[in-house]
Amino acid sequence: MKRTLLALVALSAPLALAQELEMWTLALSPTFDDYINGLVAEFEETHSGVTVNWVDLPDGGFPDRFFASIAAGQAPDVVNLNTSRMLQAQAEGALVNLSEQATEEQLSIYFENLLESSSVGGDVYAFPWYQAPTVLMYNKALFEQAGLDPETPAETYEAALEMAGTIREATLLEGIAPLPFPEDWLVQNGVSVLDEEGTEAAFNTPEAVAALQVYVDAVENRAVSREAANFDYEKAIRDFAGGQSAMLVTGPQFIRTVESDGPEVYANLGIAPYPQTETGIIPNAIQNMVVPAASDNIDLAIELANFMTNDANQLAFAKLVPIFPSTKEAAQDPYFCSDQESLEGQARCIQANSVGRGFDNQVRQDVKDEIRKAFAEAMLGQKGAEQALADAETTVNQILSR
Amino acid sequence: MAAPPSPQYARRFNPRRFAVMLLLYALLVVFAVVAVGPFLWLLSTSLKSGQDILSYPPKLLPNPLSFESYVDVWRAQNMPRFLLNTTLITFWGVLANLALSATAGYALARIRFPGRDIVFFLIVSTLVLPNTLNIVVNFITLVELNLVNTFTGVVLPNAITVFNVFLLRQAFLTIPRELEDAARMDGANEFVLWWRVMLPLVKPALLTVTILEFVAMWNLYQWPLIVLNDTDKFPLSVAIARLTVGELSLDFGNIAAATVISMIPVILIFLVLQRYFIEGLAGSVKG
Amino acid sequence: MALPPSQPVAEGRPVQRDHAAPSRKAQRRQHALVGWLFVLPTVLIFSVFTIFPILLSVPLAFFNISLQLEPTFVGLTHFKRLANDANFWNAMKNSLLYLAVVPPLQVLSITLAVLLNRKLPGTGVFRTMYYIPVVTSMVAVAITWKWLYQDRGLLNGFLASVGAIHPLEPVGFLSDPRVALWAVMAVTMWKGLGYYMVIYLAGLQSVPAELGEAAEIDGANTFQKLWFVTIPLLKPYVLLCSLLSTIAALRVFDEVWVMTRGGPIDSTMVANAYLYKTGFEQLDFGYAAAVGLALGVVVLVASVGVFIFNRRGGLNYY
Repeated sequence: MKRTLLALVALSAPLALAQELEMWTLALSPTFDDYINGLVAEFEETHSGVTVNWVDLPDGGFPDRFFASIAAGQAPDVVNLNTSRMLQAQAEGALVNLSEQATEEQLSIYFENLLESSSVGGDVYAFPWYQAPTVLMYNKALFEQAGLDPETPAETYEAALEMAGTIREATLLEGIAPLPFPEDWLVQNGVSVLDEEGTEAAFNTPEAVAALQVYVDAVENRAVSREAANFDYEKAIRDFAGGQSAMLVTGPQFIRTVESDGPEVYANLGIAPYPQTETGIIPNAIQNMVVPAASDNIDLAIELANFMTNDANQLAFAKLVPIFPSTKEAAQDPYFCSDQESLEGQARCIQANSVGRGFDNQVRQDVKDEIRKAFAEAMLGQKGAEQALADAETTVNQILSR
Repeated sequence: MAAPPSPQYARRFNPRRFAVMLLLYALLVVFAVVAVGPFLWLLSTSLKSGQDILSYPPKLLPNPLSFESYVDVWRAQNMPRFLLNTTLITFWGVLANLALSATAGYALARIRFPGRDIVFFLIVSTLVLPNTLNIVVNFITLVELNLVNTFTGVVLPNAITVFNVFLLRQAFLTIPRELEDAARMDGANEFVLWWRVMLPLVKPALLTVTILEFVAMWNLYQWPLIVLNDTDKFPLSVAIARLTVGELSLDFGNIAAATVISMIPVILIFLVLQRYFIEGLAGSVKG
Repeated sequence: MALPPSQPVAEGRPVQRDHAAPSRKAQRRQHALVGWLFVLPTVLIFSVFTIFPILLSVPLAFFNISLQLEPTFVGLTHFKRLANDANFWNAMKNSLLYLAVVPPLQVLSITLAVLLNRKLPGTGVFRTMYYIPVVTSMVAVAITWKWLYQDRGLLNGFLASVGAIHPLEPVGFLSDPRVALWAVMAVTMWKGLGYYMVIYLAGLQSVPAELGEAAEIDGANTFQKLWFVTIPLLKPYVLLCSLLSTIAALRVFDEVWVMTRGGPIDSTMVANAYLYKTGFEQLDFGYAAAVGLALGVVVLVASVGVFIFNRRGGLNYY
């Protein structure tokens, strides 16, 4: 791509400054300006002659910019990507293989289960950054209104869905939202989405059908709305903070949204561990730091990515906002269970106790789209669960064979 | 059609006429509610605080009135900077479009030169061809021109649109030939003729271009997002979008306030210029 | 190209001095020079930033393009894949449905224009209000309309309060695959209403008042006047609006992407959204270029169709 297009444009090539690094993050400014700028300054100080240009981007348009930059030979050096985008970029050969290029020492600081989430075929392609193991937030007032005990939230997902049905019936409000993403839900129920080499679909199994059927039944029994098939977490947060939904299943960083936009709900907020499935796996959105293969300063870029995600810096970040570090040492810090009073403090401790069980079960974007489509088809009654998964299997295999 | 209220109307009450008027206004109000409703709701949300922001059924009016979200947005973001950036991009974008459509439109309408029809055909044909993928190639071009991370780079690919060239061409076509001949008799050369005689006559069309481009440039999102690197150069649209899909924070009151701030200048511009805007279109589309 | 015909009036004819030209040749040369000087900047920018990338995307459709490897020539592979790609055909189907619904309804903005083409107090304010959706940024559209449309949104709240629906069975404006495309179309129309209204208003203002008065003397009532006198005179404007809305309908992207990203179950996946998704989300750029070419052909055919239809006096059917 790059070379052909450059040849076609056929003008003079710009000179790249070797010691300049460009780092992209996703929607962190302005809230975390001080924190990120502090890290950038520190990195520049310890690496004389190096300048880091920090660019913070909104989500909409991020893929366009990523593609255009690499195509134009203006690749950024360090990029913050969520796991499915990271896997898609990896599938296109756009990322540096960190198992080869990073040092043992650099890789050793992260949790193995998180490195696994960012690996393809056994090789690591991203440093995990902050993670957000999911917790359960619930509205005690709505629990009471529905005749449920506000001090005993659901411990299993099965129970949670049952409660959701009770709540919907009693209050005409939403019971639980959002449902775990389909690709997550499969793994939580013991189904691998792809085979080990990642070359073929592995999700057309009786277990997968049973897992999907749980969602289908939930819609049918009115335990969740048909809107649940959209898996829209932003809407779920809005509903919950607006007192329109009794349970919210997301990372605890959104406690602050509830506090600012839904103070009455916040006054009745309960925090509990994620309702278990049989595997005990907890869904966990991870933000990653990757180094594009087209970076002109790969070693230094890896160093920066590693620096941004190291123990000390993640611990500092986690103190600013309820997220959880992806590094082993930082996660051990007594800080995470030091505060049992505040809701955020409780959430932190719940996360600390779930270390090792939180996986980001993402798959590459195009595969993810197909699986979500299959789930929606079954949940909205367009196809049977079995049929939907079988069709998706065919399509996914086509995608992977390209 | 378009009859001004007659003097008799002012003196004598006409019940039938009154009923028609009532109906007319009722209809206008219904349409207005549909058109403005979403914006008003956004405005109302931005002025609410606490639980009211997301409560359901929504309260129509903010009570108590709270400017908290505006204060928050203004403090957290460097809003004056973003407003200035957007203003600069808009200013240069509008200016470029005015200059280019006024020159190209003039030549295409009133000068016979070899290749004219091909030029016109080429320009208009781009209207129908797909352009979603253009951004990639255009970005490469900007890299080659060393214009990445500059306002020039943001404005350049948006410096002219087909519709504007077309509009001005049509406007120039309607100018009577006699005016031109008279000016020539006085010995005016082509440039003087264009600048002194022709341009003043297409003022309404130029105002139309101003409004259309003001809106387009003010709301420009995807392209500046790709071209600009420094947060300090971001326009409002990009800066605001970072608030809306936050992995780490979502504050709906602030989102509403920031969006309202970004819309007000465009609404004001239209309110002030709308009369000329329509006049300009009227003069140019006539076939 | 398919646009209203340029005005064939005499005064619009290019400059040609008939008084004692010293040399027609020299004069012609001068015109050529001046003409090109005037169009040169526009032509330059257009060529570089619009025509060049469009031309370039044609060969790209025949290559497999990856972010890292050299592009490989794959011949017609992408087009063969296109032929069997159910997702692509679904997207085309949605786009054509868009085309069938939105541009014809756009003509309704004539009604608004007629209502506002009076010198009554407040019309300026009304015009501005109707224009607000046009100037609304996509971010604002996404926030407000998603909010209005959701299960527990204003619209369903209203429907439930008048007893039209059960609160637990709301209309899934953006979640029911049977409804979502229509809901998105409504937003497109909402956004376009004011834009086309303004163009029609411009048209109405160029209708000579004497014509209406003459009809009145002949005993025509308001509606007859509108139907037989005003609307036929609006023809060039109807053509322009039809053309603009046709192209816009086939190229629709923004409101779809910000509200539904093509879901649920691809029910709002229009051609341009599919193109974006394959190109930028799935990073399959060569294939996206092929999708773009196919879409381009459809837009071209539709535009020419609108042009012919209007020329033949299809206006009577509006």
